[in-house]
Amino acid sequence: MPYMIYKRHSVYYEINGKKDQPLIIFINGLTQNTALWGVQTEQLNELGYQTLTFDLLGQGKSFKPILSINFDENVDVLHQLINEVGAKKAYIAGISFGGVTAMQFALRFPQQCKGLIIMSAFSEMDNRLKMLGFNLYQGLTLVGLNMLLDLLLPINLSSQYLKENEQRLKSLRKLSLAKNDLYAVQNLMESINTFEGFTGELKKVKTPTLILNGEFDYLTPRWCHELMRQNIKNSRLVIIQHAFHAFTIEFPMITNRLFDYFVRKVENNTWKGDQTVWVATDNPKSKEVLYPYHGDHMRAICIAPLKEKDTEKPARRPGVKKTKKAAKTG
Amino acid sequence: MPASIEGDWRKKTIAYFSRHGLESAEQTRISLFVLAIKQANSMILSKVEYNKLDWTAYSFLHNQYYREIELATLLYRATAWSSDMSIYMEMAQFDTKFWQKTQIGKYVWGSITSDTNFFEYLALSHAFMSEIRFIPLFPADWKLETPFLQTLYNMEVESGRLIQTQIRLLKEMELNLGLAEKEMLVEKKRADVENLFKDFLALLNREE
Repeated sequence: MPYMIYKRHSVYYEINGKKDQPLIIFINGLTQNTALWGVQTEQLNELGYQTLTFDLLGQGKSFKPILSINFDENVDVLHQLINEVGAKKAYIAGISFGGVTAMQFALRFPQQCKGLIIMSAFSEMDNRLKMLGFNLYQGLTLVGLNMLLDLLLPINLSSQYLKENEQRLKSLRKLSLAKNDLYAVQNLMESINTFEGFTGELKKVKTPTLILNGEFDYLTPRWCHELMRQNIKNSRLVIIQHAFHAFTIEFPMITNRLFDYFVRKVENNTWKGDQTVWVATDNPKSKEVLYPYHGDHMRAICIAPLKEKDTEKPARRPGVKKTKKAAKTG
Repeated sequence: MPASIEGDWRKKTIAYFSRHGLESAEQTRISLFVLAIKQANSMILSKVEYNKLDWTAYSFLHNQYYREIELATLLYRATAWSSDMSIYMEMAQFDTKFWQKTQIGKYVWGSITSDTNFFEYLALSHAFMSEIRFIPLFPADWKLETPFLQTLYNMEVESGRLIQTQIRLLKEMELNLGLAEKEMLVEKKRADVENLFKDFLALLNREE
């Protein structure tokens, strides 16, 4: 597979699928590498799309700068890569750290961005997100890369997935330890130190945008994606049921259907970027991909309006029998 | 072409270990290689004891010096040493190659001060800790339950912590050099160490 040279540094990429078909580019999260998009690449190629995956500087098989990584350069690398493969426009899909790069790319190079898919990302950081990031950084620098990976697993995946894939995750963890270098991951994390929120700028994004957020993602929770929905006019927010931060790994079939749905709509000029909120199906074989969301998507609980009858009934502790007096009064 | 492009030697080594395992011959070669690096590194780090206590880097480098000696001792104890004398002769020759290729002798003499020479040494020791990693080269299903594997694993995890000193000093040391020049220096040292490691692995799996 080929390498591109960016400022005398090698950038590893893989391009698959038929030429002249819509091109979808995936941007990795922090400790990801091209191999982790395997399911996406295979299925989307079968559906007729071209896919491009690559390792950011500091990741996987790309060059790993020792002294520092400039976060803004991720966008320049992607810009050069699109030119390198001879594409004019592409669908840019980024997860987490890569989602931030995807948004910044859409702002800087809108002419190369046919559609934008933002997953588990953020355009600004609140104190909680900063502290979570700092804890991950502390885990990396005080204990090591293995600690960072261990901290990320329960953030990224559900309890059920962790239980059912124990052996596979052990192998993935080992692979990740082999492919990642501590100093390079540290440089990527430190590149966020100079990060400044850019939510206000998102209003300038006119590109059709699909925003995906895991139902239980507590690293980049709903508010992060709500800011994108509110500011990007041509967008829709879709909540992935039962999912945490890394739903592309846990629910690849569903996310692939969403990518296919979105790209087809944009290609057919039937995409409605109306800033509405939707819920993705949790059945990969269901007829419908999306269901409209009714209620307050910013809350974790749905409070039903009280009926008159409910107000009259006093709460009774389970296991406590009604006394005669209580029975009389209702 | 950047060194990171050539990755076939890693694949070859992984295949070698999955076929041969880690017998005493492999353990002996690996230990002698690692110990040569740790001993040379300790010689340089020992000079830090002549520096002033209030120098910011002192406590970190002092800690690194003693940890390196401790880790080397652990490796001595955990290795199933081979009785084949030719391995020791072969590794003694390789030791010379190590001194020549990395030019580590440059940093053994003189005092430690915040200068280009010290910056180069930090880049070299950064490369030792980040490039020379055996655990990723072993098959994923190997359990780390033998003393040798457990010690190697602990050493590599510990290197992840110790390298923080190199990372901070390389990033923050004030030198009369621009970022591009600094990058060139550290990349040169990394390439030297990567080539040395490649040569060692080629020696290890030359029967293949």
